[in-house]
Amino acid sequence: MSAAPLLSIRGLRTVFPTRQGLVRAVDGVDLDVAAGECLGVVGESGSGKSVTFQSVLGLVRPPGRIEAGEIRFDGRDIAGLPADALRALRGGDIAMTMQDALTALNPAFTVETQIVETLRAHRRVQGGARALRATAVELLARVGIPDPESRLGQYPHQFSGGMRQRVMIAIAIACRPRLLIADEPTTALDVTIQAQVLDLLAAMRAESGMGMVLISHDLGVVASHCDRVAVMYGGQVVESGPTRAVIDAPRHPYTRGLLRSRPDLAHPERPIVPIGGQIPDPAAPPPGCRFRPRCPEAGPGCDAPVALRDLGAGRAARCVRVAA
Amino acid sequence: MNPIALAERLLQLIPVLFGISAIVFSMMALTPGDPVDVMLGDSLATPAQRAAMRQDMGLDLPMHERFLRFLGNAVQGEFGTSFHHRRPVADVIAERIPATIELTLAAMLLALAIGVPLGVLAAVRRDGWFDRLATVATLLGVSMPGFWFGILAILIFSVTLGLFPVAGRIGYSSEVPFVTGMLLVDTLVAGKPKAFLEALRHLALPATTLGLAMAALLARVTRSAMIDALRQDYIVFAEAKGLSRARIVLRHALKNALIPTVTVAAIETGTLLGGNMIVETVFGWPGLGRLVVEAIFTRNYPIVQAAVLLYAVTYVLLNLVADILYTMLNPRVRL
Repeated sequence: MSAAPLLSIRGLRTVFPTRQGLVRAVDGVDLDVAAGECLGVVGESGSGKSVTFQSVLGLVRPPGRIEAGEIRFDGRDIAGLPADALRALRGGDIAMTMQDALTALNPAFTVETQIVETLRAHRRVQGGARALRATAVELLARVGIPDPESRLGQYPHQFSGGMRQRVMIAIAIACRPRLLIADEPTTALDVTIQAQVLDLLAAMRAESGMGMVLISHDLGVVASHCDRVAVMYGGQVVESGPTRAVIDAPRHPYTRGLLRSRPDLAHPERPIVPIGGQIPDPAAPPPGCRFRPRCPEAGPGCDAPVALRDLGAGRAARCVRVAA
Repeated sequence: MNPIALAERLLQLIPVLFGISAIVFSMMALTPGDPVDVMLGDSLATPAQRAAMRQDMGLDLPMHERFLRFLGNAVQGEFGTSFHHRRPVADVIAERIPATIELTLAAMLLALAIGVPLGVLAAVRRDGWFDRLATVATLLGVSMPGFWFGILAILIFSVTLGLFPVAGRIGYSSEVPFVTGMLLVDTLVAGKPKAFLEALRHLALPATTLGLAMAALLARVTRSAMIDALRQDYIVFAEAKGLSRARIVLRHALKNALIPTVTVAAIETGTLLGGNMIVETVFGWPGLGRLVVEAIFTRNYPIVQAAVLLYAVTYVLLNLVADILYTMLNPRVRL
């Protein structure tokens, strides 16, 4: 990893006031993404993985807010940047794709409108309407949409699920972002289409050298496409490290649980063991380790606060039982 | 919209019109009261004269025969003679239509100009003081009866302050050559700015009375549709694209939110074009609504029947317009 990461998150805390009290959806997250690197972020729903990156883009909706922490993009702290500066960053240097293109694309506008308005917002194309249109055609071609000229005038509902996802990716890469945040890019897709979309994302990254964050609940997706992985639980990073190393030898009990709870094609005889219990109440997380109530290895000392500890070789884990 | 679908929709008019005719015809026939008695009153007309008049108006025939005759004539565009005016029904109605159209358009423009921005702003500032104020105001607007608001407006602005005329469309001194029948247009065409202002002053109160109630309704519909639209994923994605707040609200959210608003506006226009009987009566507005009220009181069957048929046609056509607008706003819908 290079000395100055493209994106560096330190001590990020994002909170949502609710009737049950203040929910710390993200509670002390540290993450780095190097230029050109792919970071996989894995966790169950409610683990805070999406909110972490909504915080990066300033997309947390009031009354939710970033309470503490630092988000550095290219060395500049972008947490709490004024709206105009954030807007220039969004879709420009940092782009995002969402889980379901069917709901993320506006049903009332053609694909052309939705691509061109992004280009316009960031003034990335010289020339008038014709140049913008040509760029839009080019973008659709790049994400592998056949016959882009004629599809440009169509509406999102006229595309298949996989093609829609490609349109969304085309919009995200329209302004050549340096960081692409792909939030659950395959969850809404058929299994056969999933691999195509992941390959497309990988190709776009290879082509442009942009950094990428791949948010997923599926360790398998992350395993095959990411350089490094961060596992999140209860608003915290519980383990991070090079993908291969983490999957081959997980250090945190939660990561082990995740790996055991999914089928393994290489070892089909291995039983699938779900993680018992439920994720903790976000308004009242257990003291100490958040995973303790569900952890098969929990013991004395687990109810004391535990920090993410550096284990060397780029690895870190948040567990008192892990020796450095 | 393809021509086949359009033709289908127009064909649907036939059974609707037949049904409405039958209902109106029987209601009028079963309502107590006799047009001949109304017209001749307690005059000295002999029973023979009354019978002759009844025969003359075709009222001596059995009900089903009268209905069939009415239908046969109506199909040929013949609606008979107004008992009261002694002139063809079509002429009497045609005379009154421009006043109602003028009032309707003015009220609807006012309603759209006030209601849509109000709804958008209330949704954007949801739960803020503006939203709360707008909610109370629109609730008042929706629930206030038009006749009460109209009378109040006349009392305050016409009688006490003398700002607006009490009734009518234009002063007797103004002569405006007939072009469209809508005085705001005709006075301008004739190049009479003074008469135009006078017509505008006459129109102001009735249009405001109708327009504000409609604005309140449109504001409520727009607000809830906007709140729903602003919650959608495509708004988050639009934000993530770096679009301006104005573009997100006024294009991405509003185009989707306008779908229910346009539907309600079109249907309400249909209702207004039928002539708002109460407001037209309160303001002495010589439109279709007041004509029908008069016709009902004088048992002027031919006018009532023709007017109700006209309502039905207008209503169905405006619904068709709403559907067409709907497809323009929402590309997922194909008729």
